[in-house]
Amino acid sequence: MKPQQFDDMIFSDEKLSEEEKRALEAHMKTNPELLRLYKSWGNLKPRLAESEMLAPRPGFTRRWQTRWAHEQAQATRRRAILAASLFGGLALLILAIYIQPSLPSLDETKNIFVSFLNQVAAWLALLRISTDVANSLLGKLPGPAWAALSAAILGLPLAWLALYREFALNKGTIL
Amino acid sequence: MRQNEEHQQLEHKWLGEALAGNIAAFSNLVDLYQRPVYNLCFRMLGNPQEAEDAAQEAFLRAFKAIKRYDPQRKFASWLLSIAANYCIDQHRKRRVAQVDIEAVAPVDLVERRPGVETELLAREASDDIQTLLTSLSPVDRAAVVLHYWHEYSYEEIATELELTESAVKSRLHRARRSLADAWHEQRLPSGTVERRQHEAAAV
Repeated sequence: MKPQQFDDMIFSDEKLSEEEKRALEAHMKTNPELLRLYKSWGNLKPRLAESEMLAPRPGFTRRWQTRWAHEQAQATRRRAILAASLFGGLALLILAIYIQPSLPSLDETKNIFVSFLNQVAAWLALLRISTDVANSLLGKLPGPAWAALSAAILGLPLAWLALYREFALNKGTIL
Repeated sequence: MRQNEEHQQLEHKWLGEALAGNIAAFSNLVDLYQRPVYNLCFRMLGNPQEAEDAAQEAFLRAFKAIKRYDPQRKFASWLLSIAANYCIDQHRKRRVAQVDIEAVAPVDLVERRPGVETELLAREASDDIQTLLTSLSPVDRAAVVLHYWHEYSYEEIATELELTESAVKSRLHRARRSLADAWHEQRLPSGTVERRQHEAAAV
């Protein structure tokens, strides 16, 4: 017999014939590795067969029902979101079709956009020129002139405030 | 015998109602089959929490797919095949190579024998077996669990796991050999395995 056949005999589910048993026993005397496997499987096999059926914690069915209800609620929510998205998309499509004739053409839209950019660019240029002019003018002023100008700028609102307090708050006796 | 017939009639009735979408009827089936499904999941995954999740998921999938159930087939087999395939998928996804042995401990044994010592021995034996199972590949493990805990024939295992009968035979043979080896290693005094591995590495 081939070594594989002895191996098969050890792990076979079927009962061995007397002849097979004798051959296996004889072979095991000369093969300690096979004897080790034979003993090991002989010990383990009944334990596997007798091993107990494990049970879940009590309340398994109730927990399953809760999980099912939760899954159903989630599925309903997903369906609602999908339906809302579809309806929203459809509404937008209808709206686009409905207002499309009154919308400007692509060329017009482009022109509006370009003129808006030009406008912005013009304002920015004007602001820059004004700043440059003011800087160059103010840069040439001597110190005392700077002081007088600042005093005038500050003095004007102060003078206005003083006049307001004097006349407007005193029952308008300007005239 | 009569009880078995009554049981089958009840199952048939609940199945019919569940096919019509009756959740209460399917809940009765969950009640009836929770133990075998949970046991399979636990033996496959080796962890009570994962086993509970997998068992719950198997029942959810079964209820969602109940319209596809073939009444010619045993309902229990159909359920167990859903659970086994789900557990195999979980293994592939998570690549769980080893199970935390501490996680194996808090398991309720169904038939608790009187006496703390006996119970502890039974738990220890169960944990030993569970540790051995973790040394097998997911499909081999499923084949072993279906064969030894659920007493499935090679043919039934082949149907449930979508394998050929000869593939099941060869997988079971390989699994038994591997379990016998692991059992032997487990029984060796501590340090022997490491010493052997060290010797083997040295050679």
